[in-house]
Amino acid sequence: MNPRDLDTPSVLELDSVVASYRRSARDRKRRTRVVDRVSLSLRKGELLALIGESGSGKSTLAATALRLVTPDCGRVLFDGKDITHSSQRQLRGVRKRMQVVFQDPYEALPARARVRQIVEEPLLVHGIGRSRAQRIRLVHQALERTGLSPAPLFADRFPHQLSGGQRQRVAIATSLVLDPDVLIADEPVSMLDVSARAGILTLLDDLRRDGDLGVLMITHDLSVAAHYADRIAVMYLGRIVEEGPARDVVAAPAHPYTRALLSVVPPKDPLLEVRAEPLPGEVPSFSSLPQGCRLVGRCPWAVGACADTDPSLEPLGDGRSVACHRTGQLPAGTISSRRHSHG
Amino acid sequence: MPPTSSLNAATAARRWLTWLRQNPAALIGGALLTAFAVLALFGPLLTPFGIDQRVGPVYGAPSPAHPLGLDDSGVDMLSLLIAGTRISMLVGLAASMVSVLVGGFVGVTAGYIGGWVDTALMRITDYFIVIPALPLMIVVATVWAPSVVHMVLIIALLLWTSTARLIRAQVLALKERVSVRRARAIGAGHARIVLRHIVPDIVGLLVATTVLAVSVAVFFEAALSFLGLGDPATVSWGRLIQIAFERTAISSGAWWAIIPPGLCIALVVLGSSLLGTAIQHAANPKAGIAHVSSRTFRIRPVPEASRD
Amino acid sequence: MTESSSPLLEASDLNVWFDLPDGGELHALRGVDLRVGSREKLGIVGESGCGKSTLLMTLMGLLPPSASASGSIRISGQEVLAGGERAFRTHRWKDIAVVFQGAMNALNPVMRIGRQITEVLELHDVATGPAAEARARDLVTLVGLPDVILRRYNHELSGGMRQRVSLAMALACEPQVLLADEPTTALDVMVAAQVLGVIDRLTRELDLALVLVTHDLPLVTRTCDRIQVMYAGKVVETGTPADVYHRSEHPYTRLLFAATADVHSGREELVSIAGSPPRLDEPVAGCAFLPRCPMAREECMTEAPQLLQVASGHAAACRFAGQKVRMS
Repeated sequence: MNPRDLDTPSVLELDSVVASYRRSARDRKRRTRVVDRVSLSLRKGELLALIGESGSGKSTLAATALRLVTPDCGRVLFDGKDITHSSQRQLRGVRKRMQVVFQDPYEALPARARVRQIVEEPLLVHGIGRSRAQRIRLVHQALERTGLSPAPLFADRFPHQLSGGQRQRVAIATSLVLDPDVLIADEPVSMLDVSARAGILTLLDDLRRDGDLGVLMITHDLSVAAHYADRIAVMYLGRIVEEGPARDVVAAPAHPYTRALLSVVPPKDPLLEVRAEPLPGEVPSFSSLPQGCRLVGRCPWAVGACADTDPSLEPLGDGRSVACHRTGQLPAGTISSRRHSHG
Repeated sequence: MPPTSSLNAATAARRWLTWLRQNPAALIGGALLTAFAVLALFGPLLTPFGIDQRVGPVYGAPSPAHPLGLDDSGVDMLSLLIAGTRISMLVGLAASMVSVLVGGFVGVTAGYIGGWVDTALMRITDYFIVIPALPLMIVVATVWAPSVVHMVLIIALLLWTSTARLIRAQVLALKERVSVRRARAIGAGHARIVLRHIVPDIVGLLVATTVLAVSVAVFFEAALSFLGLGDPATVSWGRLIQIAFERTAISSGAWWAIIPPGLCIALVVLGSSLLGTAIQHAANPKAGIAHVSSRTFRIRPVPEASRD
Repeated sequence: MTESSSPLLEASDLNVWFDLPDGGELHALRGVDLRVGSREKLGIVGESGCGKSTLLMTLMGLLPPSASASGSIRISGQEVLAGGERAFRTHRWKDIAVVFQGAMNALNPVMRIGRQITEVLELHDVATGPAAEARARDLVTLVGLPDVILRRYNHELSGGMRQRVSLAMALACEPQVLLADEPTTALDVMVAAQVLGVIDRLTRELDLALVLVTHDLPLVTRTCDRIQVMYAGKVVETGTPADVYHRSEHPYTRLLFAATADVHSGREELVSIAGSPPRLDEPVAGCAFLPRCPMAREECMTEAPQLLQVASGHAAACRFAGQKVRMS
């Protein structure tokens, strides 16, 4: 299924990126590290899912990739070019090729403008299209590509006249109109009804298969990632704890956090039994990180070493890597699904 | 809801009319302000007599020819009142517009840029807020030569602060909206974000503030003129009251020299408050939703038509 | 599952209308029946606008003044809908309590958690003074919280803790039926699983009946004994999770399952359901699902389908139910 091999060139690369926020408006010196030495690469034509709960740092990581946040250290490479310290002016060209789709299609579109104007705006911003007629042609093309057909009909509407799924398509069209190389989709379907989700996800899937578009999908929903992503990267407290081909990660998660995450997602088949084994407690705050492994207080498999040293992300082979001291020692099959007869 | 800018003119006009019909307060306020505006615009055509023209005795009582009587120089009061409308409304409107422009600019700048710019601008705003209004106006008015332009500037100087605070708060909220973040991600520059994505959403609030400021400005104009700090060469409502006071209108029993200009001031203040508040509610509908109701839902039999 | 002779909560032919500002009416619930037996866990599932939350508010008698309702609601055999607010008040919280999605934001920010719980106890004459405090301690222990929580304020708690506190408050008067409206939707997946674990344990330990309202299909198939799928203000299918998933007789149910992502079922292709639900401020002629239905026939346009029994406890509101008609 993987359309891209491991040797496909990366279009976006994060190299040991650290991003932090000031702890408070007054205290300028103390900062909270929200993304801690994260390396991640997005290949051309790939759909990479970044999984994490709120407070995992996944949104900050995306903002760093977009250079809306400047990392404290590490490098951000776009198409091989280091953009870590590029000025806003230099970033204009990059911004055009790296687009975002936001979570909330009800909020993301300006309410007062017609779809045509909304999709045209990026063209005006970047001075694309010599004439209005040419711009409108591009707008219509983008709308057709997102499945809003006939385009002239939808172009004339206001966002409030569209369904949630259609609005999200408009949001995607505003990105596509610039013909980007990277699309960062921040929880693109979590605000949508179930019946509209597959349409948007299939659209993202098709778009990256059509060309070289790399899609970074940020989501808390492992199921969505399992269905559509080539690769999955799981984040916990500012770190990537597991990364690998989506199919393998979901079939046999290697990190205790991924295992727990998978176990709490119920299957839709009621005869398939998956025991929910959530980790105890809650995600600690960034200001009170535990010593050693960040999962140590909550992990059922923790041993002495886990409290002492922080495990680094180590390759497992087959394109997988995991950050856990107990790799290979976890009992197999805790989330095994078995059928049982039912009355 | 008030009309939005992107609809075509006919639809917009129709929505304005429905909105007015549903808001009697706005309708009354709007009618009052419109009436005075018309009076101010076409005043010279409507004045029955010249304002320097002596047409009868000192403090002549109201009569069919002079419904509001005559002033201390035997000039027709109605003519003076209409002439005064022009200056009072001009000063009121100009001062409120200047104050909203300044306040809006300061508010948008502080709210959008944030950081030390915000801190500095808000500190300045605070200074203006704590200075007592009337004494400051009196001081400035005494230092400056009295003129209509100075009057406008003095009043605007005091009015811009509340607008600045209000707009800043609004911009702070708007700045965090997803649609603004989207615009930034597209690569839109600051000018575009402010002009296309923020200002359109505060226009309603700006209009409401302007209309509300008119009432304060008209009142301040009257106060300054009454204190003798207005332009002596012009006629305004405040100045009419001041002249009547100085020239023993009260002891002469000439109520017609004082009450009509006072009533005009009151009506403009009322009109702009009514209309301004209504626009404010429409621009920010959430403020109006909170209400406590002890009523509960109704029980009813199933009508046959809806059975299926 | 077992159905006792006199259900704890029973609703029949519920209809709810909302007055619209323009003078029209929105027919939000269109003849809904519901039965909850003792210790039964019923899942009400559907997409936004299907009426599932309205149903829950109607059962609690908490509709806004702009609403009107008809039909019958019986709590422990006693009719309450006809009795209005007074009748509801005698049962609300004592027999039937509710946890909302946003309940964790509904806690009073300036009152300690303990005081808020004892207030509920006093309000319903369960206990006062030290007895109420002791009961409050028991309640937070019951939902798996340490009793130091009683001296905390709302803002000091995480979302999961707040939802547990609102659960504790719902259990204050020992109700027999707990209604839950998307109780975990606003929570992170791990915390959501913890809260669901607590709800599941409580239903067993306290012999609670549960009505779980959610848009999350896998959640109800995992949690509930019986499922009612709602569409456009009607129940379109009802049955056990296995009935509804494996032997589904309504095309909407089938499509809804096919549209739901499932991490445990491989990479099967998900379907999206084209179109959108009908407007409920206009009369719906025929089957409400017709415009989106792959099985639609001409007959579906004129006659609204009734719930047809296809097996014991399994019914679907489709004229082809039980006829083994394949979807095209």
